[in-house]
Amino acid sequence: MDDLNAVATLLAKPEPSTEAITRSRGRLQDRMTRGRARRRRGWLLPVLGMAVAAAAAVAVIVTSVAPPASAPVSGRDVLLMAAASAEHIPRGTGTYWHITRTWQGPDAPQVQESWTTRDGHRWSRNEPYATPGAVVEDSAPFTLMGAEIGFEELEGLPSDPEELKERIAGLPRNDSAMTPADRQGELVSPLITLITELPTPPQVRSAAFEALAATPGVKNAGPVEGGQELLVPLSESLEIRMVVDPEAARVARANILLTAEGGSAMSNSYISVTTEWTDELPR
Amino acid sequence: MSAEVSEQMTDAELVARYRRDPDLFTAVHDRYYRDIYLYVAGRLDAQIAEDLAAETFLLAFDRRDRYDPERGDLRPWLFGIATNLIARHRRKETRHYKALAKLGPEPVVEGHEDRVVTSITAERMQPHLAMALAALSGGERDVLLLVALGQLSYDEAAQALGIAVGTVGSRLSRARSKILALIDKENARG
Repeated sequence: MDDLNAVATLLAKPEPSTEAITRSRGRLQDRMTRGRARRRRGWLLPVLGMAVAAAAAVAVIVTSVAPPASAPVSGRDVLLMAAASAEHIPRGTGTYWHITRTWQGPDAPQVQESWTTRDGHRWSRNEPYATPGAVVEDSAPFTLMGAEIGFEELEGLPSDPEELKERIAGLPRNDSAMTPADRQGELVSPLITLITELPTPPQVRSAAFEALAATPGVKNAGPVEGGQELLVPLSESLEIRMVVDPEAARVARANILLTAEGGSAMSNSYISVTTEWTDELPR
Repeated sequence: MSAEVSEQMTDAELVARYRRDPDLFTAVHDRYYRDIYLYVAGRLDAQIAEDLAAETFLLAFDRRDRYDPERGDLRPWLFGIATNLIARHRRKETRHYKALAKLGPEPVVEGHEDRVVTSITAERMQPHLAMALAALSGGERDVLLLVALGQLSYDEAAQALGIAVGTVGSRLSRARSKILALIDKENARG
């Protein structure tokens, strides 16, 4: 039986942590007390939905006798729940994809906006060097990994997380616009770009959230206004801090905002972002 | 953990208890979580294992009425559920083995000579073993890993997969001969 032992040795992994066992038992107890939750997304959502809800609603009391009623929700769980929600958020309608970024300036809040049509016409307000307050035609294309990406290409991306990553890995790219880790296939930054500002269709957003959930080292710093504050490693030395709303499947704000045009905006605190389809183009 | 469930209790007694009081299902979790976790972690990775092992017990709880003690123990039943969940990650699993095959750690060069020889052989074998695992069919791999990694008997593996014991035997011997072919080749060379 040497060959079987060799297989067992090759695949042997460390014992599960006490925390993992406790979290798992907590999930099971949630399921047991709440009975059969309505299933929205096969097997994924009930578990995560309850984990998040329970973490938010129940004070976790750890004693030496009883295991906690519910374990805190992990960063990965938040992303998986956003993935589950994303699928059920209807695709918006409108002529313009409207992106609004807001951050705290030295004196007052700063707002930057852009409107982009499906064929790539773009207007913006308050971009650097533009006349403050004026809406100007501004032809900056959407980009991913330093290469231009259009609406149709976004629509055509796969809705399976692994296929999505494979497809992204094969897209045109500009290596100088990528982190070394992303060049080697981590692809964390492009996945974040897909869920932050780009008009990514619901199924693809869902896949991007799910793919991101597989990123090692994602941490949840806990609930904050508007969602859960996640820490996602972008490279060995750089971590992005972002608030994800798992219900709306949105990145609500981030300290490093990976923009639709392929830039990154940094803040000592946060840059808030909203996106929507609209028929209104302010002039 | 409930005082009403002792470690000596058999699976059948455990099942009888949780049928009367579903809260006792946590005892099933506490008894088998580790085994299921290590099985999934070996086939996929530790991070996914945490999720899939937890999911295994949620599904088991939902389906607890469908479990029939007459047809086998809880353990193979749970391994069967875990194996089905792993199947959703089949491509990832294959990539996991291919990655293992590439790792090829540097041979140990210090220490006692015998130990050096042994470790070099084992490490040279590892990439081949991992590649062999990647090349097995899904059915062969399920059987092989339930037995090698999950430590299930032939009977238990048959129960887990809902197949005949004879099929377990034939799949396992096919899987093992593919693997042995690689190990023998390596031994002959090394």
